[in-house]
Amino acid sequence: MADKKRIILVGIDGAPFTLLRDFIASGVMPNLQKLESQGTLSRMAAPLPDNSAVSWSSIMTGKNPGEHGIFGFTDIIPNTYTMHFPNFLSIQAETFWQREPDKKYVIINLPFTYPVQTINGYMVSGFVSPNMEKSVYPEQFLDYLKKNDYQIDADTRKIYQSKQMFLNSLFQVHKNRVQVYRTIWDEVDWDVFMIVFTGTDRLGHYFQDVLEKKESEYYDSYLEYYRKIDEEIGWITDQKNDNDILMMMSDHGMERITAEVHLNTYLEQNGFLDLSKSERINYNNITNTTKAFVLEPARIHLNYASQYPNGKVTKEDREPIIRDLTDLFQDLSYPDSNETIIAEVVRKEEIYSGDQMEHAPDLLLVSHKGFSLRGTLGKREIFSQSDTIKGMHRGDDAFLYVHGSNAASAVPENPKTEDILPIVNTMKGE
Amino acid sequence: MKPHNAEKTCWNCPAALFKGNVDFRACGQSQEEIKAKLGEEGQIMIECARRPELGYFEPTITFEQCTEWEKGEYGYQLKDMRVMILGMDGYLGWALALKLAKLGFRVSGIDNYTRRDTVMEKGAHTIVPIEKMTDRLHAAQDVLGLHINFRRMDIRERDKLGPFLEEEKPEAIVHYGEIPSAPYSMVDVDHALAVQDNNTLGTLGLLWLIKDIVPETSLIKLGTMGEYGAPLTGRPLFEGMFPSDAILKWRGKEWSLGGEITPRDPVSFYHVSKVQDTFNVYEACKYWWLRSYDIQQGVIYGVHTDETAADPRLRTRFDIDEWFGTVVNRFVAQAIMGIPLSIYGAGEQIKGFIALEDAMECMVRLIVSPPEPGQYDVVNQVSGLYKLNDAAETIASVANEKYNLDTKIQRVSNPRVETEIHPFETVSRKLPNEFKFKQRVSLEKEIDRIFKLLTQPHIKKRIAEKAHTILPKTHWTGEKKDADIIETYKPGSKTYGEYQGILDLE
Repeated sequence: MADKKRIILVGIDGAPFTLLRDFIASGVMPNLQKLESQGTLSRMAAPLPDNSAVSWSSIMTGKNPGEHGIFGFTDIIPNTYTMHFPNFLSIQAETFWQREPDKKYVIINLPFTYPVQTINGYMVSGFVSPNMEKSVYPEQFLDYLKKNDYQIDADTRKIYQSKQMFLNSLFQVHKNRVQVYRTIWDEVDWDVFMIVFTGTDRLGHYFQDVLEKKESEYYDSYLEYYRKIDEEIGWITDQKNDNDILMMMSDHGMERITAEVHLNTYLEQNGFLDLSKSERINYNNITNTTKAFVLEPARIHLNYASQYPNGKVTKEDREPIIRDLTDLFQDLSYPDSNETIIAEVVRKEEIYSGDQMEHAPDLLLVSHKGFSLRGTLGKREIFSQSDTIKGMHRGDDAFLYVHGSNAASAVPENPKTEDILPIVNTMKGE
Repeated sequence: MKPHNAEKTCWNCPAALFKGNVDFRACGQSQEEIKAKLGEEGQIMIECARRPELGYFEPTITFEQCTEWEKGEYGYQLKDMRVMILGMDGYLGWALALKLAKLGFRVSGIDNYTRRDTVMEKGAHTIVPIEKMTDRLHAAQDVLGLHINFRRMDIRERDKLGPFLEEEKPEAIVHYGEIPSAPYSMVDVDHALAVQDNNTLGTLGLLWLIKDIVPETSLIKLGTMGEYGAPLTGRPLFEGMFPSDAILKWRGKEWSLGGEITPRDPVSFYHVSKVQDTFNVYEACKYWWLRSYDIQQGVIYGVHTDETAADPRLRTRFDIDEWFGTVVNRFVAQAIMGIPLSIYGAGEQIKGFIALEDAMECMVRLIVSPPEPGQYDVVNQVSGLYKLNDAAETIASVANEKYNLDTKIQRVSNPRVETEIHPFETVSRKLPNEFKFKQRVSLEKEIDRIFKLLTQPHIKKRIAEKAHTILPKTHWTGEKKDADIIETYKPGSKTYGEYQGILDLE
């Protein structure tokens, strides 16, 4: 077994490259510090939008969204205004375990793999997994997980009751996950082992502000959580064989929110979006005078006649509308500080390629630091502050670590999430 | 004009998986629980059995928008929609099986051949010859290229029906699997028990199977206009439930009756079984969020559908005996045999009628436009109201003028206990308005088709063989005797009572 070149992939959802560097320097993550000198730790770019569904889909397929067809946790069903939550079955490209089905896999808590499918090995889907029964393969593995109180995610509703209660749940979920993955590590003769720690993303979303407030009662908890992650990095490093390939990654970075920016409200106020009145507003309220609308987080879709029931925008209209929208978004500024909000307006053809392009948003926006771009419908004001959500994704601050002295040559200068599978192949010597 | 079901949404679609996604128990009980079940955006999310790649989504896709629904002759039609017909060997079941299969539905069905047995018990036979089921299925394949998945079983054999439902996972179930005869249920205690056992208990068992195996399916169940009786006040026969503006006034106070089941006044133990079904189905929809259309069908008549007429081996059965022959069908057979058309009692009974071909079209329209979860709805499936005297006059005049027969009419003592002279107003608004059904076949047209078929020598011979089974012998008193002849007369020679049926279609 010692000669076998196994692959170990460790995901740390939402862990920012910059923060890991800080934690290495300050001694919060000693095991990562040790590894840093034995391999290559790089800043990595997430795809746009920098959202876990898109990013993990790129990681598991090695493809850009124009190929795998996932552009967010939500999307609109073609020819309707019905919003849906795509899932693993929506991915239009092969994952690494589908490409090499004969290898033996253990994949625990990889986001966006619900509903779980047959695999040669063991799999537990990560978030969003509404039904535990459809998240575990093989079925018999479910009993074991239930006995160990395995939970896919901490109950985020608890945060609205008590921050401490939510933190306790976050630590407990992590602890139970560790117990499960450590047990199965030894029990299965696997070729590829993938474990994703997702509590870091939750921690960021709800507690990112405490990093700037050392006096906060939750500051130590934040650091403690990363210490727990580092313990697992240490355990995995100890367990790995010399021949094993070890890679670690996050799907995006995280930063503190200054304000939430409701782009649909901005479009409404500027005459690009018109919604009929009703008690509950959703995309079905879009009227035929609408030129564009936004899906979470900052995906701009034109209301095409060929794609939507109330669409009136033609191919010929596209260019002028896109130019108008670009100007409009570049003009958007935050009244409290006069800062401009939009750093980049990106056309889909600039960043995507592949046969899923027709489903891609026409424009994607990248914000300046601290502005969380949102596609919420029905908000009266463009700007809002959340009492609960304190952290937002940062696409250009994900990380990638590749272990080994030969890693430097395998990792491109500015790695992207879809480069991970090609890097694995290089490391395997293929 | 858009098809009638274009604006229906996932709420009506049997492929939408609500179970496990929507906690119906919360509805109307705990607002907090509903809120907790709703997502961040306050929307109910479901999955689609046919399009699992959509993941979770709001149930707001219209049939017009959905790629699984395609425009067809009778509205949007769910691609390869799986429909199971219970009682597929019967007069209606076979005709519907062929029609649905021809339209592209995936049809399955069961039957225990009770109808063949009970008609034989009477010493009668279907006067339009029919093949045994195996040969019917071969003929459907050979002549029309249709595949139908049939199993022989009784609806009460739940150990067989359950697995068949699991296998087929029908998206609609048409329930024709009941014994449809008032006189048969009045023969004696054993017959009464047999009818209620098969009908009421069979249907109750079916409801439990649906709950456990196919809760998303729509149950399209055959009831009868006879459930309502004929109220002497002339109160309209609403479609199962009172409309919201129906008011009960008593001692100076008023209450809306809207949504309540209207009174039933069945006229035989068979009709009682249908009334019991009504309540069982209604309750199942309430307890388990099943969905059902209860079809209060008028008296059915006729021989023609395009599919059954395509080949003699594809014909559906046609009974004329006192137990199973419906009145128009029986009258035509009597006319051909030179037997006076026999009217029970005063002949002033007014009833709703519908031709076979029209009834089949109604069923297709209902199948493609399912109710929402928890919705129990009733449609009065009638296309015309006729007084029995008038129906006899019409048939006699076609017989005499077009077929040179010398048909007479006779009144016999009424073996039944029923109101013989009454006003009659029926509401039948849903089929023409919500489902855009338009009557295609007039009474005269279908009578003519029946005459054409029944005057063929080999069929005429079969009528002659069983003509003795036409006149009633089964009395509601329990007696078995010939009915007394009250009078015999020539058509056109009598003046009838003043009541005329009122059919409210608007």
